[in-house]
Formats: sequence, structure tokens, C-alpha cells
Amino acid sequence: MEMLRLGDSALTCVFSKTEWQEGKHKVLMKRLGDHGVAGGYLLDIVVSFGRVSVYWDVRKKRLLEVEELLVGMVEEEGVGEVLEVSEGRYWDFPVCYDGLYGLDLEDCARESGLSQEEVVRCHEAEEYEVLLIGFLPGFPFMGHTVPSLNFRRRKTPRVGVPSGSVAVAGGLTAIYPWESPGGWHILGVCPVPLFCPERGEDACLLRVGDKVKFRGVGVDEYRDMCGEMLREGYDLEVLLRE
Amino acid sequence: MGSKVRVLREGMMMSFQDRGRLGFYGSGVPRSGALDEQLLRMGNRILGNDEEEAGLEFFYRGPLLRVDEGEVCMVLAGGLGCEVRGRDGSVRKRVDSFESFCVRSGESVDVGEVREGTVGYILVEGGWKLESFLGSFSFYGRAKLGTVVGDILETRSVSDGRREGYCMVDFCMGLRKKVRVMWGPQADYFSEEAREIFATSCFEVESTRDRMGLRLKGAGLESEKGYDVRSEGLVPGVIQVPGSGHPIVLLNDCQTMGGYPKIGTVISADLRHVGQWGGGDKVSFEVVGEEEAYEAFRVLMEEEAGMKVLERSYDRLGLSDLGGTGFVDALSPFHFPGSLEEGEESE
Repeated sequence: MEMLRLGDSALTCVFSKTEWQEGKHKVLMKRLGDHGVAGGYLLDIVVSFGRVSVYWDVRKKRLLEVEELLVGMVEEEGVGEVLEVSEGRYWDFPVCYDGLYGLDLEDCARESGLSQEEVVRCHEAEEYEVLLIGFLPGFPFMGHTVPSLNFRRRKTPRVGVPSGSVAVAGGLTAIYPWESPGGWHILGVCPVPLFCPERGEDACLLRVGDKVKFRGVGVDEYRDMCGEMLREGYDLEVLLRE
Repeated sequence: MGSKVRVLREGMMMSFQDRGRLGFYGSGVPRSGALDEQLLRMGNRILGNDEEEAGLEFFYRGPLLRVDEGEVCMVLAGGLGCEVRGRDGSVRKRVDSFESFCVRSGESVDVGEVREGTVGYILVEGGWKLESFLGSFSFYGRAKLGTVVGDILETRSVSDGRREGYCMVDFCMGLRKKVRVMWGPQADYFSEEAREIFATSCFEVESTRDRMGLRLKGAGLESEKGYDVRSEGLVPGVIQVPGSGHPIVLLNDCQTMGGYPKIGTVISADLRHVGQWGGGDKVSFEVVGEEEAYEAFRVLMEEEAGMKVLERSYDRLGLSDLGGTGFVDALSPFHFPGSLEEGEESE
């Protein structure tokens, strides 16, 4: 495990492929959890691909102390029980791939040498697994796209990616739950509200391990769904596959 | 029941902010919180509030507020001042930042432009009445978490007016255009030359800044290893460089994860200064090690601890001069004019 410093109040632990497969990161997270996140000096944990970022209260701990502590946690014998990965649920999400919303369809077609229709078909064909949630509230990183849709991020990120945008980059696909700056390539738009503060602690709809398949819908159908899904009492579980 | 305050004219990008929402990065929920936490803490101290009580934050220009019901004792924190107007609209008095003042029913407060920095706060005695979400009152605009600033704002309690005239005279905004940074996790993506440019040259802040971050214009920073790194955790203050080569300093509402190389991270002690940068500011970075970062933070905390709240008693007593500075230490038992000196107490 290598540690990258993120200023004086955070660092990122980088695990090798072998360490990740062995579940070293789960050991670390379990022990950090036992240690108490959001209480004491530990403020937050962010898990990403092969990495775990740890945040602490700069008033209470120093970098060197935290580094020492984390190394101890990973190296300590007796792995014990690791974090259980939740049983994934299967979702069918409608996506409107119309050029009105798929702002980068043309660029993606050009770059991949496929037609726009083929780009859409490639995106629809796969079933994606939610690998992590982050970047924005409820933002799912899902993998993996077929190699032909594996594009690098845009050189200049967009100032405003419209909310609901379904995008691809780096072999992954995602849905932007909110309008935000972003550097991924936009293929379409999805009407499903992924993060609702009204749901309290369950505000975030998707969980790591869930599976998502996209189904193309027309512009009119998409617009109807937008209104419908935001209606009070609408049960998003109808989107679950049997 | 608290007092009711009507927003007659909005300030720019107004939002309620406290220390922020901690512990939910894992669901992608940004930290949010006051861009200049020190202003929040010092303002609350003047009012006798918990120092992490939420304040009303705004950029560049403050709002025009009218108390519709009750009485409110407030403090402005930032490089700005305000006019308190009577029911007839005439200016009753002008008040600067870091001094508490009362506004009665029917009176209004016109908060002016931020003269120093870009961000200011309005704090009220007893706190604003807000709804908490995931343990914080901070508003996060993109997902509408927390209380939206509406037409009517409420305070938790009606002021009895006794906290009027408290102030902090030794607080100085002391804003820095040059801030200290530590090398970032991908500093080695950049050539020696690019790192030299980062550490020594001047950048200009673009006008599109918001609570998420600010973009800098200047000499481009070229990465030798490309601009795609695996998405990993971010932190307010981190400086990422996308393919354009122009750095972006992220702030409190920043995304929790990102995949651009990060050349540096602003140290905790200096983060408030970045929050106060505005479009057109010429800014620069000084690279320091972790020892210096913690020392800077210790010094900041020590300075903060030494900030005293004084009672400007001549205002209320109608005295024009107390013989000295005109201020007395409100925390001292002998602060009242004419109070007995130690050892003089009579039986």
C-alpha cells in the first residue's frame, strides 16, 4: 500500500492489484469503521478504484500520525471479518438517446468509427455494475463499457452537464444526478431521480453492487417519465427487474 | 418562537452555511460549509453563540433585510458594513463588521458590497432557524440539501437586546493572495519546469467562480503523464489540472472524487483566503512541507483563541469617551465603567 498526501487533512491509500484482490482495502475500512468515522478525528472515507481516501480533523491529528496508524491497520495480523458487499439489485433504467440530449453522440461516433446508432446499441447492450458512488450525491460509477466506448475524458470539462445526463469515459458509464461541471461524454438522458433528500438516510437510490441495464426511449416518453417519476409517492422500485 | 426577517433584496448566491456536512463523502455528498470558517466562528463568538452556528453567506453584495416580527441581534462578518434604517427608511446608524447590533420590528438592514474579499456572513444571536440534513445546516445547491433561503428567514429566538454593542476590535481580515500549498498526489506528473511555473508564477482568477471552485488563468501546466488518473478522493483546497493546463482550485462544494492530476493542495490554515478570492484577483502559491502546514494552523488557532470580545459600552450609556480606546473587555468582571478595581471592594 502506497500513501499519497492530499494536503494536511487527507491522504489516499493506493493498493496494488494483488492487495485489492486480497481485500486489504476492506480490512482497512473495517478497522477505520471500528475506529469511528465522523467521530473523533476521522471525518470521512472515500473508496474509489484501487484506492481509499481518508480524511481527518486537522485540529486533532497530523499526517505522520495518520500514516503510521493506517499502515498499522493494514499490516496488523488477524484480518477478521471484512465488510460484506450487499446483494445487488437489478434495475432497468430508461434512457433517451436522442441527439437533443446526447450532446456527444456525434463526437463519440467519429472517435470510435461507429455510427451514432451503433454507439447507442453498444451502450444499451451491456449490463453495468455499480462500482462506486461518489463525485456528486448519488452519482454512480458503473462498469464496464465495451472497449469501443472507452473514451478519454474531454480535454476541457463542460461547465454545465445537464442533470440526468448519461455519459461514458474511461471504460465506465454514469448518470449525472445533478447539473454540474463534468468531463465525460454525454450519450443521452435518464429521468430516474437518483438522489432524493426526502428519503433521508436512504437518499441515494443505487448501492454499490447493484446492476443497471439501459433501455432506449423516445423524447416524448422521456418527458412524460420525468414528470411522473417526480410525483409524490411514485415508487421507483417498479424499475427493478423481476 | 423566533423573529421573522423578510428578504427585500437578495444578496448574491446567498446560502446558509455552518461547518459543513461530514461523514457522507461515501455517498458522494460534498462537505459544503462556510468558505471562510474563521469569519463564521468569530462572528458567532461576538454574539455569544456556539462558534459553529450557521450563518447566511453571500458573495460580493449583501441583502436588504427587514425585521417583520420580534427583534434580532446580529453581526456582520467580512470586509463590509451595513446601514440600519428606521421604519421611515431613514438611516438610524451605520455599523461595520464584527460589531453586534439590534434591529427591531419594522426596521431594515441594508448590507453593502463586500469591500475586502468576496464572501461575507450575517449571523444572528441564538442562530437562524434551519432544517438540518445529515447532521448539518449547510445548504448544498446542486442537490438542494439543507434550507433554501426563502423570502422569510426565521431566527430561533427573539433577542432581548442585551447582546447589542459587543465587538472584536483586533480581528483583521488579513487576506492573502499568495497561499501556501503542499505538493499534490500527482505532482510527479508535471515536469520540473511546470512545477517551477506553478510555484513561482502569478495566476488570474476567472470570474466564473462559485462555491465548488475557481479556475485560474496563466501559464499552462503541462502534464508529462497525461490528464487522466484513476478517480480518487478530493478535498477542498486541492488543485487539479485538466487537459487545458489551467489549474482549478476546488472549494467546499467540490465533488467527492475526480480524475484529473492534482498538482498541489492548499494547506488548511490558508483555505479561507482562497474562498475569499474573486474574479480578476492575481494569485500565487508557495510550496511548503507538512511541518509548516501544521505550524501555520497552530498559529492561526492561537491567534483565533486570542481574539477578545469587547463591549462597546459607551454606545449604550451615551458616553463618548472612556478615556482609553472606548472599548472594555466584556469577559472581564471589571468591565463596567466605574466598577471597582481589584482590592478596592468594600465589605
